[in-house]
Amino acid sequence: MTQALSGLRVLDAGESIAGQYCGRLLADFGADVTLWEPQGGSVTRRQPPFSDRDGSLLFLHLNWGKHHGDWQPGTPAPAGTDIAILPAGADHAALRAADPRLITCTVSDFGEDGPRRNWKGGELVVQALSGVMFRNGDPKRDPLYGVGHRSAYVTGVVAYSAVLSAIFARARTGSGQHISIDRAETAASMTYFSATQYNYNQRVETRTRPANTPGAVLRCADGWVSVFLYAYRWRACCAALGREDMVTDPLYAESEARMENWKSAVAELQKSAAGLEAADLVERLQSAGCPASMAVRPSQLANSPHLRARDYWERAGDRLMPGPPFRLERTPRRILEEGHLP
Amino acid sequence: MNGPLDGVRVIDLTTAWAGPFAGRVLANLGAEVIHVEAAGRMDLFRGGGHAIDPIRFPDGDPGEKHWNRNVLFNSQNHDKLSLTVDVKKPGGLEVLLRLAAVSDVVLANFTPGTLDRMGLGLDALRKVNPDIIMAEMPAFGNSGPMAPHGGLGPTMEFASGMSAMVGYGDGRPWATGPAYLDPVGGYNAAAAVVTALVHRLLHGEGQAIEISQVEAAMPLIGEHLMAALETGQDPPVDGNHVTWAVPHDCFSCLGDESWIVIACGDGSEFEALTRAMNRLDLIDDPRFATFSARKANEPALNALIAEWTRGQDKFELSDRLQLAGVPAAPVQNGRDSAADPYLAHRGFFTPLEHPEAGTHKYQGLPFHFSDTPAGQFRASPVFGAHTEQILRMLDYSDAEIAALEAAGTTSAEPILIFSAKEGK
Repeated sequence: MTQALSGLRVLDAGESIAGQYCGRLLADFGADVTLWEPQGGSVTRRQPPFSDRDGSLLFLHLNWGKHHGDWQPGTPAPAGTDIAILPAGADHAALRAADPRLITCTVSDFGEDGPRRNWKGGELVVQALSGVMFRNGDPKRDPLYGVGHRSAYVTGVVAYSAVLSAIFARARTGSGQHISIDRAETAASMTYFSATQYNYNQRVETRTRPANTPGAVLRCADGWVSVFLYAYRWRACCAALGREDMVTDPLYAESEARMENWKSAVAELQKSAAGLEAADLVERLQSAGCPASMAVRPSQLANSPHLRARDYWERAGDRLMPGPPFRLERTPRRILEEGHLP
Repeated sequence: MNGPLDGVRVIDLTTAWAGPFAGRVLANLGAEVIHVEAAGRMDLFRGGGHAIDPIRFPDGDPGEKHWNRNVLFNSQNHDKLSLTVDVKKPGGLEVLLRLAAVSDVVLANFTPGTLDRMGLGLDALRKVNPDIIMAEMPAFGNSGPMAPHGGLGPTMEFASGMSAMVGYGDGRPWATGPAYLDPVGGYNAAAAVVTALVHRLLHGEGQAIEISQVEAAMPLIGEHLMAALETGQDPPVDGNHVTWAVPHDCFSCLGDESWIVIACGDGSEFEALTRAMNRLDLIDDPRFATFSARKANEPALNALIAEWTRGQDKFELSDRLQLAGVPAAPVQNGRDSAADPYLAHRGFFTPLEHPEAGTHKYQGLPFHFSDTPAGQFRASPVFGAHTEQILRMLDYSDAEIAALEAAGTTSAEPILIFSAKEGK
């Protein structure tokens, strides 16, 4: 069966979470991806979490469906390679000189020539610099960086879009080109416009300033729910929670007053939520036309009826893998049954 | 030379953040992106749903037409063309179908079924353009019991498994910033569209794409999902601490709301930290001599570091620690990012002149191509700025254009249905 990227050949020498996730996506959608690892194995093999039987689950997740080849740094890419994913410092110009149709993409935390080219990165450092961390967490406590390596994964998605766009352009121009993608810049592109807003009016948005949006986290009898109560759904939400009193209360009746008194509105809503099960609260608010979701733990996602109905988890060998990030009607992602690199 | 997606035309029917972000990525890559709004249904990021918040406007001033000056909209729709047309009014649907006939991609972020109800479902689009690529980005996908559920950044992050992994260890989950999953969904949707464009290029057919924004985000914690599937256990939630580095936290510095982050993954980074602190004795302290000892005594270690960072400048200290080989960084706010020398070196900010908002530097996207430059070159459009231009491109006559305007199908101004009084 033809997949979206069938016919494309990729050399993945990225040696990073971002680079390898880019390669994983290319493999998922049909490209032939050769993973290069240095002596002693890729750096991602030594990163947690670890499985008792398969080693690093991070490595497994990033590299499923790729295969090994005999390419060595300093030599041209294997004949017919369309895309080479490279770490900072790799000689992309030499690779391109050997094959002008080749698309090279350097993926790194801080790039090769900027003022932080020698900095050590990682999720904590990158999220701190990005502006995202400054807005995270309890205003009375230290800000939170988040979880895992999310900015690296998104950088992988960015690199993926970039190299495929270059394939698209190559059909027009006849030649490949070089691309450089930085994780620190990707992370900075994901803020809630904090720098642009500063440029608009020289104001810094902090966690202590009221957000002026009707969002809240409510604690239910058995879990936590994130809700967003649209102004035009206020009446319906109050009815769904049996709080018609809040529709007429002058503190909350009109949108402007309600936002001024949002803290006490949330305290009132919390009283109503406390006795409900989280799933019940979600259903009530969704029926009233407002977004609401439970905080679901990974182990709960494994048993989610919604994900099961969508055949989300995919069997690969003797384990289940997370499903595709997007579903293509005619050329769906296909993962190999035996995609585990030795 | 134009961007890599030069020649691609996208109809962007999206609103708020994730959808417009996806269209913005495609525009940044060189596609022509036509952002569609109706007078009675303007983009939520133009405002109108809530009280006017001065922090969203140039110099805090909403001006006469606040919907054209809102930083939310103006930061996410660079280089797009603005078409205002109401599919429920006479001739409105025909405008969009005629446009679809000469477009490559239709992008939408409605809940399932909405496009069909608008008359712009897959069958209708294929009738006018068999090779069309249609990308929908519903929060929970088009099928399954939660398909009708709406989602926004924080609620989708709760549903993705992430928020339960972010917190202070007291059980309370935290979403990341105001809406971290929106750009995640936007980047993934753009990636999906580019995949379909390459497929059409290589193999000659368009197709429909479904981007469940929750599912698009889940691979970002894929290794933890796989661990939970294997063991039934969830990872511990412990503030900024992780199992594989110590210290790994943020520490107060000089000034209000001022922190530095410091992470030491191995012994050499920890030794470099103690050298910078002028506390080499800590290496021989049995509490901190090995990784496992440092992990067991993390609170005591963090207390020592916190005492040292307090009173120091977050920027200078970060530079010093990085020079010494310690991963460290200031926790930057919007002002810090706007002055960030690394971002400036990358050309991250571009000054753009907007006819009603003035000239400001806008945050960019991280694409850098050697031969087909990506980037942002035009400010976000004012409401309906290109309606006439697009109608003319579709061969509408002067009389037809006037008739559409007279019928309220097209409009240069939005109807502010939610501005002051409560809706139903």
